[in-house]
Amino acid sequence: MDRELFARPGDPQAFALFYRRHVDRIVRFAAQRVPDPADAADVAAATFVVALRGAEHYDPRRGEPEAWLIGIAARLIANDRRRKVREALALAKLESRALLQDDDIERLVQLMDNSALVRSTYEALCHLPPQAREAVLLVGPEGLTEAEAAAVVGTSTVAFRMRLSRARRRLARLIADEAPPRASAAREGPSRLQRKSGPERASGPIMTEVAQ
Amino acid sequence: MTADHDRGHPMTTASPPADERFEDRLLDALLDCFEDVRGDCGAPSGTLPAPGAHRGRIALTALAVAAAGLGVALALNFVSSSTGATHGLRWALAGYVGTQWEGTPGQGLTVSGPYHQDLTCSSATTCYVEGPANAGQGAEVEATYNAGKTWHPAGVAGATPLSNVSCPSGRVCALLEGGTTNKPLFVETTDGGTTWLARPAPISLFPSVRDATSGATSSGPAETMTSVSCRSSSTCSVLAWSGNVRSSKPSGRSAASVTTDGGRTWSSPVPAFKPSWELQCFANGKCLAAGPSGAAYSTDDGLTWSLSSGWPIQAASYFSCATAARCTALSVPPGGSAESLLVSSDGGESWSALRTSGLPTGVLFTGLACPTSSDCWLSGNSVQGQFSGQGAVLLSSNNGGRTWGASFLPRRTGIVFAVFCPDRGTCFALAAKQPTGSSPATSPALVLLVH
Repeated sequence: MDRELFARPGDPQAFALFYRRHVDRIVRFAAQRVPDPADAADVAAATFVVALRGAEHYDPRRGEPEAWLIGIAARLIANDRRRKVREALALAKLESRALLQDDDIERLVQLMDNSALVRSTYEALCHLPPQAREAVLLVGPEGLTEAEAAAVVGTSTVAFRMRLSRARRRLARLIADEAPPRASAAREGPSRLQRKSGPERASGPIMTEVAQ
Repeated sequence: MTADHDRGHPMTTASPPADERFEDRLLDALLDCFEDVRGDCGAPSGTLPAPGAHRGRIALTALAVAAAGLGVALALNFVSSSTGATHGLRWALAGYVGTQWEGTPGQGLTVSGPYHQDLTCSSATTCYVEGPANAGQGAEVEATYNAGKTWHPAGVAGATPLSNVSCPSGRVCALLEGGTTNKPLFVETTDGGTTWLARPAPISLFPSVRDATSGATSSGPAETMTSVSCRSSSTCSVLAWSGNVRSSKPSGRSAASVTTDGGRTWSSPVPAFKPSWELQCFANGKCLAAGPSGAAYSTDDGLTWSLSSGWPIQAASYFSCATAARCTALSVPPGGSAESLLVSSDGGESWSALRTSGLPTGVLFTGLACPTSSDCWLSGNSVQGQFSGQGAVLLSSNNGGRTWGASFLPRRTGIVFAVFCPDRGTCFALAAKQPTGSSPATSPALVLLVH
């Protein structure tokens, strides 16, 4: 059914169908990887802008359309996210933040609260190289399986698993080395920084360790 | 927008009505500017995952030597294929019934002659060619609205194009032309080329031109090279340069002027630093002007200018900006030594050299087009070939210009004049067929797009 969009890239109806099919997951995916609801809105909007522009380049061998979208979103978040996202939105003349209302913000914040990716992890991600960042972002809540992510980035599952594992180890070291959180941090509750995250935890999935 | 820290578990709330969610409003906004998002405005975004297809076989097509004389000018169209890594990148003749430059030519392209055609495409179906016509006597602008099948005169009838064509969107294009009284005109279409409106251009850029070398005074625009770039139908910037265009060390001066009301009024000309002959302006008010003597940038549509850093002196100046921030330029030092690429990530304010491999030697490049931060095209002709009507190359890079490979041109392609990519997935090139036998082909010919 998604093929409609790709068969009729100039058809707004096809796009609307495609959008409705996938927007919720993209919003949830973004909300669980950026620290700010407005950022999540931007990423979601920019993902569809980018997808619209590039529908004719979708390669089915790189995964299902939804995985393709997730890959776009992850890459927007991973690669100099604010600039790329703003670029995409400016080119489409969209101000997605202006579309957010209180109910939406509340809803997004709930998603973020339940997210495994707290601010400290998010900030530490910024110190990883883009490919490593992208790998960490692709999998996890609302994300892709390792096999799906491997297809999206165009590598083998084995190679992707190695990339992800190295990225997570580096991330764990970055977080462990980080200073204690400032008092003005927006989130309270047990942050990863207050728990010893030594090498023995590094092999586990970072995302799901940080919960309540 | 503060988090409620006491929330430990997700609260299930009733879903708000369908039209009251951000996601619904976003869809409305996307559909409102659907055409814009699809590619009618601004520069293409380069954030898509790259398809694995940009790996062509590396081979330069070998072209036989033939008699001098130039063939016809045709349009080539390339649409990127996402179908597989084993496919090399291929160009096909557009608007031509047949292949390999045989068959039935399309109608109307009379631009002929070498090496200073300008190609600008506003969409995947509309291109403008500006260059000498009628066997070198006179020049004109011609447009195709069906990807090369037919061509029609564009701009003002009987006027001589003085600048490139700038198309900020699929419907809006502008250029400078010399009218019958030789006073420059600012000519604009806002309906995709159906109608053109002419207004006086800022001719006071050079009320009288004094050649720095000889001291002789002449009136512009005969000695003036001009460039125009529009970021919308109302805001356009013009760059004019007066000097000795034929000197190997271009001197002279350049000046810039801006309109924000579609050409009705123009700002007082201001100096734009070193002589420049290529101008590009962006939606955010940034402009970049570059030429052999330097590059300069503006952040206010060209009202004020600052020198760019890192731009080598006395180097040719093709540049292409995929976004308002990311620009790539080809630097060709005088004497024809190895070309190098320059990149900027701040919209041309500063440049740095890029290590490249795969650029062939002995090729004179005629154009650079980078529709995304990673995809770039270079058009050129071998030094030997350009005088015999062959030697065309079209090179591509999918890593921002670090490595290059050749793409496949239709057989019997002789010369390539320019390359332009109106969007991320579409590129056009302007080329001519090899001359055959002793008589150069004179009638223009167009070919049908073949995937």
